[in-house]
Amino acid sequence: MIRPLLWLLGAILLGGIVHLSTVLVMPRAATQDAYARLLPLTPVNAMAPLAAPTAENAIMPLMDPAFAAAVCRYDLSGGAISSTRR
Amino acid sequence: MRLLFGSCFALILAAAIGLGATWLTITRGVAFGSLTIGAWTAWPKSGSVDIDPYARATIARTGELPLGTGDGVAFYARTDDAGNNFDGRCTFIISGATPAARYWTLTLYDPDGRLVANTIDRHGFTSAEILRDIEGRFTIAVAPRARPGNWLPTGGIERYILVWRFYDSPIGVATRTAKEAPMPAIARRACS
Repeated sequence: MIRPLLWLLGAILLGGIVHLSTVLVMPRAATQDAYARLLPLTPVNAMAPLAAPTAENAIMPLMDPAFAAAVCRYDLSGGAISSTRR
Repeated sequence: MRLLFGSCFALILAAAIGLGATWLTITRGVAFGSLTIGAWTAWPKSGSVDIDPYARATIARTGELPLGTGDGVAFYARTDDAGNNFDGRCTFIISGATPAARYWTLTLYDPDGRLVANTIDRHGFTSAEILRDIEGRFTIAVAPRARPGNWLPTGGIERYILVWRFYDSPIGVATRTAKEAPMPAIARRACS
């Protein structure tokens, strides 16, 4: 009688570990997060305006249509960057 | 034999419990540190480095870019004040006061976060363009068919969400109650 209960308890504990580890791994395993969506659209070290979201097409979900957004992906491995206004 | 059976059972059950719990929390958008005022809920920490692992996983799955803490705070609503789910075939009236902010926008999305197509190409309101009465208050009608005043078209879709973003606002991680941040009331009217 006590043995199946022990197995059940073990399964629940292991399930908790599986749950926590999958939640922690999720951001690294996600292939369609915001950065991955912006990666092919934006050059490195340059400002790239994003297309305004429409009902048919939006780069990311839940974009604010009242705003024009631009993205600058920068790379600091080669040294510091400076931004200037043109 | 019993050991093999038991361990197989335990491993399968553990995988089901663990993955099921992860799926539920990620799809339902469970996150700590939420701020709920009326029908509106915000997660002010989602835009900061203090973001909790559940919110981080949810954002990674949906692919959205949360509003940074310094920029503002976003409130989400799926139901009216009485708990009725938003239905694009019904009329919902939003009225009342908004918390202090330099600028705000109200946007209607489908449950996946896409804008909803409609004939007049209107997806929301901003604080700059909304029609106010003589005392500065406003009423927004979220309805499938045209209404006088501030009409936000639903496109007749079954379910939608409303997102109210307050830019340059003092609301944030420290806000606790509706007294600090009064949010507009939502009430359901007739359904067609």
